[in-house]
Amino acid sequence: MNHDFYVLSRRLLHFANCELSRLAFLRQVSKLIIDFAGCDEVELRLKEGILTYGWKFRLRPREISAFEILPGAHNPDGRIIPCSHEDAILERLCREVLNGRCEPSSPVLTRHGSFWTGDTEMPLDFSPATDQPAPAVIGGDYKSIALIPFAVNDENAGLLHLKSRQRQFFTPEQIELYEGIAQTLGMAVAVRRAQSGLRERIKELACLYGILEVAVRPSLTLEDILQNIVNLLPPAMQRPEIAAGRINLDQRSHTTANFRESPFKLAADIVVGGERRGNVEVAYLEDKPALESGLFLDEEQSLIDAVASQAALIIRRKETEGDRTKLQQQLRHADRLATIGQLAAGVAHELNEPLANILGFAQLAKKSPGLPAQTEQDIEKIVASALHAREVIKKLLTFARQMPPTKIRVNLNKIVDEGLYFLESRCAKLGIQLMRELAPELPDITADATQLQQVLVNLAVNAIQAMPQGGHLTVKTLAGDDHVLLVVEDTGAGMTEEVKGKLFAPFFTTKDVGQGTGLGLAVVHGIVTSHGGVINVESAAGHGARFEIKLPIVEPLEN
Amino acid sequence: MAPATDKERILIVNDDPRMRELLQRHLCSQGYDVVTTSSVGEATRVLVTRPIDLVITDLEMPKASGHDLVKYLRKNFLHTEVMIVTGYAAIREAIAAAQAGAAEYLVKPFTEEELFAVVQKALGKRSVRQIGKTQAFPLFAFATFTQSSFY
Repeated sequence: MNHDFYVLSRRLLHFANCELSRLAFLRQVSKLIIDFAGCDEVELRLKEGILTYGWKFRLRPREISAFEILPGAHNPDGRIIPCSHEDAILERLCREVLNGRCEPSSPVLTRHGSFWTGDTEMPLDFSPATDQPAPAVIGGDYKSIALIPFAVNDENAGLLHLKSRQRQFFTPEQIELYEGIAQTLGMAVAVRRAQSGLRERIKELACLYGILEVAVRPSLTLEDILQNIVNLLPPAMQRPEIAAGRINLDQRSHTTANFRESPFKLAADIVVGGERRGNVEVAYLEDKPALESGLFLDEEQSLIDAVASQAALIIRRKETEGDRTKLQQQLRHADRLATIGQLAAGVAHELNEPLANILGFAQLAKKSPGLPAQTEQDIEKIVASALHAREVIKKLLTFARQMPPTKIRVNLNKIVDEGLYFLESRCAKLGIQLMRELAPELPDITADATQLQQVLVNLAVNAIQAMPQGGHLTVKTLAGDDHVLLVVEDTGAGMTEEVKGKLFAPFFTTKDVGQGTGLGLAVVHGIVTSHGGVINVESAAGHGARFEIKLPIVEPLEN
Repeated sequence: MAPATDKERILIVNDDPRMRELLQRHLCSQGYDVVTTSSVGEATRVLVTRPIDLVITDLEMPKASGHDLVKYLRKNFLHTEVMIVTGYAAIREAIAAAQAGAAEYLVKPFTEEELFAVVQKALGKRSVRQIGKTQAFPLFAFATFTQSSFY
């Protein structure tokens, strides 16, 4: 008998180590015990959290009852699952013993808290802690029953229930042995729980580590990171094969390939800087996943919470990085423009002196009597070149903001009307249809009218030059809440992304040598910026270009 | 001393001999009577010896500057107009000089057409002022002029 007991104990512990599901584990254990005890039926009860799982196994006929959540248990919503047990007294007794609520001094209990009887027809005289009237008769087909509680990690967590049709089937010695078996079973359950807990922790840690690894890879975009995180979620769950993940951020979702909506899901909000931006979800895709393998574990909810807060941190860091990179680029750009501007201004001033002489003396020379025609033409070219140089220098100085702006109340519509007046004939000659769509009642702004006119003319001239075969040039004004918009649109050649990137850089030009100074848009940029405005360019090669200039109605205070 | 003619007389004050020559030859070609000097001190000596309609001065010069000359003229020679010729670098100072009483300013480099236009404009202001001078309160008339030159 003792030898058998040791074999049984070893086997119980062996099954605890087999990574079996709860169902398979209880089935194996029931078989072992019924074979060992030789009784007619064995029933195992196991409390896990608020639920009690039960398993019945009968020797003759070898019938396996369905796995069920037993009466008295609560479902995940906290509702009590109704009692369907025929024998209310026995059921009550089971629960009292399982929960250790019987008086230990009660004569029908062993010193380890087990209840057993060899004749269920005999009235029982036991007084449980509750107000159950005694004596009571259990009755039923089984004449001998034994209810043996066992502890898992020092808590009453399980009940081994042996039944036999024979009267006086158990002896006190056997009951003592079964109590030993029940304690081994308790240890086996504890080992199984510790192991499965460990496995879950490892999965969760692997998930968190994976997230960390993804988060520190600098080459990944936020989208890539979120997609990687979502793919790490299912393997961290108890049942990865039916788990699916989704991360919602702002209006966008990242999902695992198998994701679909399911009533069985865990979720945690992603809160960035106090604002709820989305959530992390894990769903089980089976219709009734909860019954066999259990619902989501508390640890899984904690994991999803941790993933959501990690995601929030990553989002915040990525967004801050993005802002910083953008700011750095703007600063570098501004710095470069300022340096170029200062250098250019210095050179320009130095050049003005000799240029004044070249221009002046060339004009004097041209007036000399009796000049050969060729010489006169040559001098005319010197004068024209000097004037061109003067124009470049003037633009450079405007660009470097060395020309003081005079800001007054102006209306953009008036500036557009005046500016386009000079361009109408040029447009007509080149087969360009000039259209203006001016917003009525456009509010005034504080600006330098001459400079804004220069902005308009520079943009319009560029547009005209982009349409040598004719096209449409549209100039619009629009009123916003705190700004006005000037839009110059053409149907010309458009520009590539590369050209777009260099558009406002000084001396960048796509025009032939001598055709453009490469300063037109740099000047536009300088003027718009000095007015606290913003330029937005939309264009694609072959699809025209659209320049949108946004000017504030109220000048910022620092200006 | 040369006999007085009805030609308008212009005094050029500039320490750059090329610019002096350039201005002189352009203006002479238009029939103006032109005198040149290379410093403010020299200019003041010329001003007391003969009537000058318009002084065309540089701003930056060794010793006394164009600003000093503008102040001197506004104090002592109400009939004489003054015009500044300067580079972009000194454009703010040119505006300041205009506010202190210079009639016009011209930014280098300039074409002869621009030069003639500005000179004529400056001389035009002189004739307006001379009408003012015939009135009972010349100082009041001067104040009006100074104010108008702000804009």
